[in-house]
Amino acid sequence: MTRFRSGEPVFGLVLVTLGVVALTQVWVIRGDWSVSGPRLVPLVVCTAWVLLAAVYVAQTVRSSAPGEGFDRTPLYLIATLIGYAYIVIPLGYIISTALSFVLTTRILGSRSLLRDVVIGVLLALALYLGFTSLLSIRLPRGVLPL
Amino acid sequence: MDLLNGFATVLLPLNLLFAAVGVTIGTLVGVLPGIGPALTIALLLPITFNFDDPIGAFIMFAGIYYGAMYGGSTTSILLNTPGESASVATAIEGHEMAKRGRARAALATAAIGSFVAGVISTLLLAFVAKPIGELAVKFQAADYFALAVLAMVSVTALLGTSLVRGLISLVLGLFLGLVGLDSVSGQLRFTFGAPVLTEGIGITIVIVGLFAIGEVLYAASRVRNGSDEIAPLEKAPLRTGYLSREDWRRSWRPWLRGAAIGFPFGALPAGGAEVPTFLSYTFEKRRAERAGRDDFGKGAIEGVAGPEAANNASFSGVLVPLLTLGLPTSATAAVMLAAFQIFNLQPGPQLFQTSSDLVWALIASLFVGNVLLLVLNLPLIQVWVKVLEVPRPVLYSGILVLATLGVYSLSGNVLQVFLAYGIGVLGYFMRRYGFPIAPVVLGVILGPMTETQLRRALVISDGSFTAIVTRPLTLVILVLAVVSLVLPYVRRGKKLAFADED
Repeated sequence: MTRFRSGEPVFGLVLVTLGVVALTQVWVIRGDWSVSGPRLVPLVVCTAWVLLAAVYVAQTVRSSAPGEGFDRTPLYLIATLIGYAYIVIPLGYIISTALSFVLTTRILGSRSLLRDVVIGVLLALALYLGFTSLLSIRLPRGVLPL
Repeated sequence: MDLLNGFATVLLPLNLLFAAVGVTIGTLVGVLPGIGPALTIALLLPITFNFDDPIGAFIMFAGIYYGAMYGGSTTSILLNTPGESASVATAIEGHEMAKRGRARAALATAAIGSFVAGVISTLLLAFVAKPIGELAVKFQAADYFALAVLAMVSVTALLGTSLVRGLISLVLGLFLGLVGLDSVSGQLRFTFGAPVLTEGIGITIVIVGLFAIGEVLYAASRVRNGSDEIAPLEKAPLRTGYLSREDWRRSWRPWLRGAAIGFPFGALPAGGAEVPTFLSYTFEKRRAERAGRDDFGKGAIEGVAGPEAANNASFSGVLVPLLTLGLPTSATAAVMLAAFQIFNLQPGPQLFQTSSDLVWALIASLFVGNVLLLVLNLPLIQVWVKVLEVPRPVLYSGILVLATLGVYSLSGNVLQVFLAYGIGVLGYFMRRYGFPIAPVVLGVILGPMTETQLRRALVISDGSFTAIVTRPLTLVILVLAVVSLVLPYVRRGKKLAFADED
């Protein structure tokens, strides 16, 4: 955990790295370097990205105040969301939504499981019916015989 | 005359119903802590798919916007959690009033002030929109390029405390805007071989990712550290008991002044509502100090009346560059532009010729939205307060579900949902380390437009940059952009002084 204590320079370095990766991708673009071609503006934007991120790293390293400890809650949340996106097609909208709703409320520190399950199921049902019948937007039906 | 036709359209029973539904949904979602008008509209964008006719959709949007804005003030006043930077000024005095048992008066002066300023500024919009649209026809590609640069740079420079962070935000937005098919040459850029990126990254995905998912992830890391205190709503049996005679006397001038500050600032290409709301707040505070009163910081009603009026008036102002130039200068305006594009409408000088019915109906619906807001919200305030009592875990989980649904229903593609999550993670770290979010949004929406206009200008001038610098209008706008970048540094002492005062 101490690794994250001063996470700001790390974030800055990630930004620099991503900027460099983006910069190399400018050469992947097919086209010429003429001022009205497709490469000029990407080159300017990516160069500015790398330079600004480098300045930012320099600034944060100089004023490296000890940051707050790293909380894992966002990590768990994003993991749940990714799982949600994976199961939404095979399991269907209602089941996957209710499941991930209950799971995220748990992660966020809720202590009344029954309430969360009731709300999750009702919410998923209401959204599914509302979108499919009122707005005619198709949502994954999945395994439920609806 | 055009405006009267607009009213004739809006006042059809079905359209009135759309407006009422819009105001109600907008307030309901806007009241939720941390959700501002831009996100509310982005989340509710799928609803418009069901409209064959853009007029109904835009009437509903006007309602949603006003509702969301008012809902945001309610949260700021009762909870002190402003959902967007434009309600920060309202939260300062508004929450103080609520803590002192004057929540109803604060909410009433916000609602009536928004109404007064909304009506005045919409009238101004109706008068200036057409002449400016006619003027804008003369603008050339180089001028559009310069205007877009000015809008991006000035908003970046004016927001937040660190210029480097603001510029990084802007550059990230510009990059996200570059991804996909280049509209001029037809070449793919930054797609990393992924077909999902060919069409580019939609503005709604960016907004839902940054504002909804990023915000929830950020709030999640702090949710365990105690909950917010909701200021109680005092019992007031009579509807007329909202504002006392004294409150009215102290409110009406700040309302008018707020409208006078908000509209022109919103209408500038360097628009947005942050500057006018803070200007209005500082102005009212100075006036009170000069009059020998020291109740600012302890719940002065002027500090709510002025900024709220300025906030509402600046929205009508923001519509001036959006409708006449196709230039969005706030996150909300950017989502509105996305909504226009869903209906294959391109805001700009031609809009008044090609879709004049729609424009005037939109302007008329702003009046109707304002009236409905006042009629619905003052009596319903108890209901909105109930929404604030939703437990945080349920609230945030609900936002995640709605955000996912919003992205999925817009694209019908799970990969876009992953993309929104990725942008949400970026948004989380940006929030955590104090990067402003609005420049990203402006970069995404204005970047492609800036590039297209620049390249168009360069093609006209045979690739020579002198064409941009020798045209007086273009040069003046570019100089203004540079000034707005430098200005906060020159006047830094003053800018910081504002934060220090309270």
